[in-house]
Amino acid sequence: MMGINRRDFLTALGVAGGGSALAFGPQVGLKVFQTLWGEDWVEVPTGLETRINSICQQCPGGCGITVRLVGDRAVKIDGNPFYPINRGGLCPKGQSGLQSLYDPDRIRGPLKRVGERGAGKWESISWDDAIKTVITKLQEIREKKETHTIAIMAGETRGLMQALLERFLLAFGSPNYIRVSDDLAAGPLDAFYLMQGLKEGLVYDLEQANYILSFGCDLLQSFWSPVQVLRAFGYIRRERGSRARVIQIEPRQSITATKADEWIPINPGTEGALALGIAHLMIREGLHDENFIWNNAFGFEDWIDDSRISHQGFKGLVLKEYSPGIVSSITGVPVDVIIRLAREFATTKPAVAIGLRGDVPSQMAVHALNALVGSIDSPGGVLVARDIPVPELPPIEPDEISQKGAQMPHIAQPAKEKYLLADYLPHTFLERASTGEPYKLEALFLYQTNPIFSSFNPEGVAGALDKIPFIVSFSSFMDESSQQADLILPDHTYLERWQDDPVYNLKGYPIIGLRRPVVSPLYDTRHTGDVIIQLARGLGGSLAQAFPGKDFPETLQYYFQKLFEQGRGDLVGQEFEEAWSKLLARGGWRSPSYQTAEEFWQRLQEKGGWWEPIYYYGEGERVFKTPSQRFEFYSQILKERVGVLAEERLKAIGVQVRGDKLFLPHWEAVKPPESNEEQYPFILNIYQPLVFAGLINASQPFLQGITSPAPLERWDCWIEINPELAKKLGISYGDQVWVESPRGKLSFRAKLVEGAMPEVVNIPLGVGHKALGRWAKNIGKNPLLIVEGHLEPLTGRPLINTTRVKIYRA
Amino acid sequence: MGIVKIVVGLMTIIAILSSLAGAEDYRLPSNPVEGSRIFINKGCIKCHAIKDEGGTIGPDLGKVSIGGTLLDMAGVMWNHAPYMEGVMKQEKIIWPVLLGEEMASLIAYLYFVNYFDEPGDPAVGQALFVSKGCIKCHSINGSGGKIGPGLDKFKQNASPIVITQAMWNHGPQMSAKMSQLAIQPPQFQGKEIIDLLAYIKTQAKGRIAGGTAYMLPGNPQEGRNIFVEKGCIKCHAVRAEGGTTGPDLGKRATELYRSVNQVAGIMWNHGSTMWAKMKEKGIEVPKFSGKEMADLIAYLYFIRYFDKPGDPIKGPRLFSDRWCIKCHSIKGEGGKVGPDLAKVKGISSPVDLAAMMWNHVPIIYKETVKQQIPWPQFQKGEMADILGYLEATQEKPK
Repeated sequence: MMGINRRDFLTALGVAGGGSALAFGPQVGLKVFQTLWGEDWVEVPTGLETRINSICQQCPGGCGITVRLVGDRAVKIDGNPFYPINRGGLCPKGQSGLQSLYDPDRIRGPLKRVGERGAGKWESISWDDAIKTVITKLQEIREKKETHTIAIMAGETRGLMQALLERFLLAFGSPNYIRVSDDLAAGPLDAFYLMQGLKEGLVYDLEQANYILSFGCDLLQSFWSPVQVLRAFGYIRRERGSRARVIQIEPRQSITATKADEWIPINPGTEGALALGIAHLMIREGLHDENFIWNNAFGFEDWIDDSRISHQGFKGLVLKEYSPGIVSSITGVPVDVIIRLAREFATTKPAVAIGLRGDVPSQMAVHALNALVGSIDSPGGVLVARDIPVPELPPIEPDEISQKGAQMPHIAQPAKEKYLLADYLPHTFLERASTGEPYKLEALFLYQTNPIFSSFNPEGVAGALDKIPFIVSFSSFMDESSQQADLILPDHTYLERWQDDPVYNLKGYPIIGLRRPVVSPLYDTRHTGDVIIQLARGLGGSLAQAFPGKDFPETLQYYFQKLFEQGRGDLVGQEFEEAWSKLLARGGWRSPSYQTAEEFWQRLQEKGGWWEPIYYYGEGERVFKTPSQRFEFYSQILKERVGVLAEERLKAIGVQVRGDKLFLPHWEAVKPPESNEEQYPFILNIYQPLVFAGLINASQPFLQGITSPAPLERWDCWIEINPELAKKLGISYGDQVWVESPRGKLSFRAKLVEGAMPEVVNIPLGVGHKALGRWAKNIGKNPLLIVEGHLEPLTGRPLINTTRVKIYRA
Repeated sequence: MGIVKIVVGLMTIIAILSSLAGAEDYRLPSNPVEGSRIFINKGCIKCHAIKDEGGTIGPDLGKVSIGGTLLDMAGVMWNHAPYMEGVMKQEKIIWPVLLGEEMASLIAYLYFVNYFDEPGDPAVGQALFVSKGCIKCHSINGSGGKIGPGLDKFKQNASPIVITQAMWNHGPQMSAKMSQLAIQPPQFQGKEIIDLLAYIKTQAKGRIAGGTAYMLPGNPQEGRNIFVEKGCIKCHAVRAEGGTTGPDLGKRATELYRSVNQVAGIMWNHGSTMWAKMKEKGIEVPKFSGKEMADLIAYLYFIRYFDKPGDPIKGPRLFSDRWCIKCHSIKGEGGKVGPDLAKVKGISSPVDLAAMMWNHVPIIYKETVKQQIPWPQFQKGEMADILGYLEATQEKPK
């Protein structure tokens, strides 16, 4: 029988009275009583208290966690003090992970659609029947020799699980693995590729930096690994002794801007111009690192190629076009501030400039600053993380059908002359799925992704999914995309499954965490890795041979056995162990804390992970993989990609500049083609608060309860506008306000804040689900619904903060 | 006949190993680095650093010279115990309790810290590459002699001992060639060889899958086996066990208490003489592979570590002179505050006794203050004397 005990009653009173740290907003009564009277009433657990180390998966940060259990119930999650990513710290998201495990709206077993797609009618089926259904469908596809018509769309997946999914496709005969990025700030990765020739491994050595210039990167909220940054922040501003200066440049006074030494408000989309203005000053005053540029850079000065054609260099361009006066008029940042920033940045070494993955020229402009101060591959600057060892799985021998299928063009690969820097794009995939060109998709697996919610165009995505005859979702929750599936084969939550978690920290060390079950699966769910292996075995032939273990845990052990055999690194440990390992490595020694593979596996589970805490500076071949094997101000990779594209093509893909400037860091205004500034006078600035960054945690009530310090905004969504602007528009705090773009309008509660620029409307992203359970469905609004689908011309990635809007009282 | 020879040879090796083991007390560590975990887990790191990493309350144990014998080092810990106890009380740190094995492991680790080379200076190394004449036969980046192989072919991020091992293995040929060309074989003083290796390492171009090829630190136990199996013992004795052609390394133990490549440098410096002597006696020059040289040097490094047996006369005298007798008795003779030390259980070696003493420091210190007894200090060798005496007086289990 359900009931309410004294403790819960007092908790409810405390919450309602605003005395709790998790105080709720106006909907408090409803939510709390939903919690209290929900069908999943839980008694106070009893039994032996134990702790198990594992890895968080509330975001891609990869923090180590220690879960406290009483009996067989997990009751608390803390940070694992041994784990080098977070060293015992944990963010509110990590702490709330139990609400994912014990979410009453979890999918509790395999489901088969019985009504129309999206009608929400399901019947429970057995795992045997579910697996049989998928195998039958895949066999049909194989018999028709159309193996390339299946695809896997996967969210934030890495390590062995990604390897198994890709392997399954390869063995089955499809090239269509589509990774969907969560879009958390990882820095200007496209510039990293164009200027250093590397697609991954960009890290910022914040702990050794003395000056951090952040161009719109909300480090403390939506960085890919926020706890690492939070720790580094505390270290460089208190613990270390010498306090680093942090300058935050962005249109909104974010948490990072508030905690920084200085917030520089800037016109939206002009951060790249400011970077170039700073570069201009540094070069003009001779404050740049000539030694680094002479020894390690290409394209700084004007140069002549092998055909005796002269080219403009970065120096010439910047000195000619980006004087402080010009830059000030673009950015709105006063000239004296630009001059001061340039001098401080150049003289307070080590200094580092951090940007966002926005438009490519701006990314290059910000990244170029690091080369100007010699902060590439140097302490306190940009590092290139050392490779994470990838233990090899046995070779596979696909049969003729599979080989043929795997050689078909990737369904998500953009046309040759479109998005020159993109290998494949999720939206290209959806367009192709919709049109059936170049081939029609027969089956789609959705793994850890919810493309309907994370897209600007949910109807378009739903329409595209509708064209695919067979969709399988592996989601643990009934999200918007799973609602469109034919079959749901629910995965365990991250607290119930085995998994590796390869990641690197801000010192550039490779780390592999071990995620292990802290409780037995609560429901009739199954590890997606197990399902994939079962499908492969059921299909037989070369597919059955492709997987070395009978299930995922066995494959994982095989994987770690191979890691052991590589003879690298050690189990994660405390700071001294890190220092000791480094001391040994300096002389070419290593002394792992295990002798045998069995001991390695056993202690790995106790400690929570493996790492190799070593970084070598000066490995030019590793750090610069550009054609010149140097840092390229003038990107030869981009030049090669653009090749001899005709003028019309360049125009068609939206590339505005021509000549050498195209391959150098520069600034060009980024706005949607039909931008109407008069009708829509404000810029929409969407940001990700920490609690929902990554877009997967909205169903956790603790997080809904702390979205904002102000009670009115919790369990809801709001807009932040400048009080002066509000006054002019007759809007008061708490009013419902329409925010209208050319695409549509949504109403939000108004929040008046001094830290909003008058021409900018800020809206947080993360709520506004139409599904995902009682604590997410129909709560708040999703601002992506009014964003214009403007894509970066070279990468094809969405640029979400270029939409113009108007606002008025509802 | 062949089998008989092998059996006899094996038996000889076993006999020699047993005698060496006996001479070297009871604990030649197989993995001295293991003690680093105790250093962390027991909280030593809160007050002490090793080479700049760790606490700053006590001295950096990677920088001060504490490398005595095992029991002398236990003596140093004991001598400083009251000060440590006071500081730990102030810092609210619980007194770390150690088992005998843990104490041996911890001390072995602290002793071993200086086995690892300090970083060399590549710039000095570059100059040495020229001044020592290496450049006459070897090239780096195409510059230098062509008689020997180019030294930039070594693998990146590999242990420098790989290079010194290669030097040793090729030593006889190099020596002959140098003699033919009238080149004086280079001699290395101080840390010159480390600087030279640092230079070679920075120029290494060989690629390694995974980026590193680190070596496990030397294993002294394995090193002892190599000392016998490779025939070093035929010419060298360790504390009178072994040949007499070369010096008794037990008498040179202090010289061998240096970092691994410094010892390798010493071996190189004496190489010409040794190879000539071996040739004269018809002994094959031993070659090393894998981590054999690192193991051998770890063994040589640890020769100094072992205590001589306690002096049976000094032991009882110290027991009385250092006021132990005020609180403790031996077979009923002495004070009654503490237990009769002949009846204490669980003692299998002097280091167990040393650990027991350490564990009781807070109580003993309190008592010495109460009784106004000065804190007993032990000089070099005295711990071995007194603990040897105590061990000898243990009542055997019936």
